[in-house]
Amino acid sequence: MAVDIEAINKKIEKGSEFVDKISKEVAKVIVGQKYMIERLLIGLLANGHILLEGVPGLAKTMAVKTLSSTIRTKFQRLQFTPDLLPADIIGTLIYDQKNGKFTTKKGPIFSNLVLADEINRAPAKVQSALLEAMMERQVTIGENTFPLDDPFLVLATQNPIEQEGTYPLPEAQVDRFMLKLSVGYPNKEEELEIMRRMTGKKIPEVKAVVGPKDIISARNLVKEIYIDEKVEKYIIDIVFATRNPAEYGLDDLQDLISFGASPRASIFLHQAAKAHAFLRRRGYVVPEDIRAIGMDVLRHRILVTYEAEAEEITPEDVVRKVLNKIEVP
Amino acid sequence: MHFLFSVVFIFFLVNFCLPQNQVTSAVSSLSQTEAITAAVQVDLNEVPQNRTVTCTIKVSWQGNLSRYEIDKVESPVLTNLEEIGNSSSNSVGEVAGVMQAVRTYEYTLQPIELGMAYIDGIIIEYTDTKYGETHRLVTDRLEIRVVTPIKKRTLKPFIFATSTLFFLALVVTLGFVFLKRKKTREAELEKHAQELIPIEERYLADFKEKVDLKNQNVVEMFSSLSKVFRSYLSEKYQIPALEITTKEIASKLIELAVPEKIINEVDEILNSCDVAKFSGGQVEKATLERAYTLVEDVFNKNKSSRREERNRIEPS
Repeated sequence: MAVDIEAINKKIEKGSEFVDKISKEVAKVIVGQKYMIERLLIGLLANGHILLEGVPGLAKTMAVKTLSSTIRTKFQRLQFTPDLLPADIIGTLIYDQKNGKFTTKKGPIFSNLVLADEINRAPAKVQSALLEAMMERQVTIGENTFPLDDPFLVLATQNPIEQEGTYPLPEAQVDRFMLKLSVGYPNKEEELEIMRRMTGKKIPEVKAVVGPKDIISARNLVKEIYIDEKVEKYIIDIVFATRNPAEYGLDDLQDLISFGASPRASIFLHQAAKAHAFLRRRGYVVPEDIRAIGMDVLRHRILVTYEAEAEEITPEDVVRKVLNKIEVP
Repeated sequence: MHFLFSVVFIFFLVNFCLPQNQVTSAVSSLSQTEAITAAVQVDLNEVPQNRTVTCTIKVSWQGNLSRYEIDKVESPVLTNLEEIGNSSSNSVGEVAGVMQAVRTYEYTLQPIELGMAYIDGIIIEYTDTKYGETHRLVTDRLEIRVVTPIKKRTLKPFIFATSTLFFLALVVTLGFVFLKRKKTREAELEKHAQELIPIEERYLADFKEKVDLKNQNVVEMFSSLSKVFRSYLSEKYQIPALEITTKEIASKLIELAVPEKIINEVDEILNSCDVAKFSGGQVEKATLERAYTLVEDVFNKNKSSRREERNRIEPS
C-alpha cells in the first residue's frame, strides 16, 4: 500500500515550525556549532539522551542551557563531583518529626531537561543511578516508584582531557546515550563573533518559544515518518559491518574491532534518522539521514582492539570506513 | 723341544650373536699372558653371487711386543671363491694395562657359482724370538653359502623419474606462462577496445537494457536507473558514487568543476530516484520518463564534450 507522503510532508511542515524558532533563539547566544545544536534537537525529537564530549570552553554547557531556555520546561543542571551521592540526584526520604512519617524529597532528576555536567567526575554509583533512571524513565525512592516527567532528556558533558580523578563511563552505560557528540573548535569568523558578543555590553537574552506539548506532538510526528525497507536494510548492513567487517569487504578492519555495535545502535540509528529527516522537513528517510547521524550513533558503541590502539586507529576511523564502504540502496 | 706344536682351535658359532659372520681362532699353547692367537672371520655366512665377502685374519699377542715375528701368512685355499684383493695392517695398544700387538690380514673374495664355498685353514708361520724357533698357527675351515645374485641397483629409474618430472614441470610452467601472456594480451586488447568505445555508449546500452519504461514496477525501474547512473558517475568522475548520498555526489562534482548544467541534471535525476525509492508513495510514470530523458541527455552531453575534447587534442 502506497504511503500518503504528501500528507505526511504537510504535517511535518506545520509541526516543525518550532524548529526554526528554537534555532533562531539559540543563535542569539551560540555562535556557529550548528552541528551540535542540530544533534541536540535530534535527541529532543527522538527521545534519546546525548553525551557531549569536547575540551573546555566550547559552549557545551551554554548550548544546553540556551536550548532549555527556549523550551518552557523544567531544567536542572547537575555539576558532577567526586563527593556526589545518588540521593543528591534521585531524591531521598526525609523523616518529618511533626507527624512522625517519612516524606519523599524528589531530586533534581525530576525535570524535563537535565544537564549532567562533567558526568565522568562522579563515582560509579552516582553514574549508575542517573543512567538507570535514563533507561527506566522512573525512579524508586524508598518503597515508591515515581515516573519521570515527559519529555525527559539527559544531556551529559565530559571532558576528553584531564583524566586524572575521573571515573570514565563503562561501555555498557555509554551505550545508553543515543548520540555521542564530539564538539570541535569554532572557525576564525565564529570565534571573532563569539569574542565580540561575549565582551559586549549586554549578553543576549533567550525567550521560551515552545512548550513541552509541542515537543511531544513533534515526537509523535517523527514516529510517523516513513522509512523504507531498503533503508532499514542499509542500517542493518552498517551495524553488521561493525561486527563482521570481513563479510562486507572490510578485511582490514577484522582485527581492529573487538566489539561491534549493539542492536541498540540499529534502534537509535532508525530513530535518529527519522528525527534528522524531520529537521529536513521530509516525510521519509533517505540514506543521507543515516550517513549524517551514523557517526554520532556509532562512535561510542565500537570497541577497538589493542592492535588498533597501537596503530592509533580510533572508533571514528572504523565508522568512517564502514560508512564509506557500504553501498547506499 | 720346548715349544708346543699343538694348535688349539676354538670354534665359536658367532652366528648366535652375530648371525651374519663366523669366527674361528687358533692359539699357541703358551701361557695365556704370552700366547699368540690367530682368529679368522668372514663378514657374511650367505653371500649373493654378485657380491663379495671379506675374510679377516687377526694375529695377536700380549706382553713383550717384539717376542714374535710373523714370517708368512699363506694365501687362503679357496673353493668356489676367487680372491680379488687383500690388505694388511698392524696395530699396537694397551689392554687392561698390558701391551698388545695385532696384525690384521683382509682378503676380499668373490663367489664363483651358486652353492657352498669354503675357505680352508690358513697357515700362519711365526718366529718366537725368545727361543729363536719357528712355529705355525692354522685356522679352521670356514664355509659360506653362495645365493642367487641380487639385482644391481641402478640410477636409471631415478634419472628417468627425475627427468620426466622435470619435463612435466617445464611443460606446465611454459603452459602457465603462455596462458598468462595470452590473458594479459586479451585484457589489453579488450581494454583498448573499451577505450575506443566512449564510456557513455557502454552505459547507455546497459541503461536501455535494464530500464524499461513499459515496466509497471516504476520503483524497481528507478532503482535500476539509479544503480546504472551511479555506476556511470563512479567510473566517469572517479568518485565513490555508489557509496555516497545524492548531496555528497553533487558536492564532489562541484569540487571537480563539472559544468553546472550537468550537476543540476545529475541532482534532479538522483533526487527523483531517492523520492521514488524511499518515500513509499505512488510514483508517476511520467517522473520515470523525465528521469530517463535526463539520463540520456547527460550521456549525450558528456559524449559530445568528450568528442570535442579529443578533436581539440588530435586535430588531424
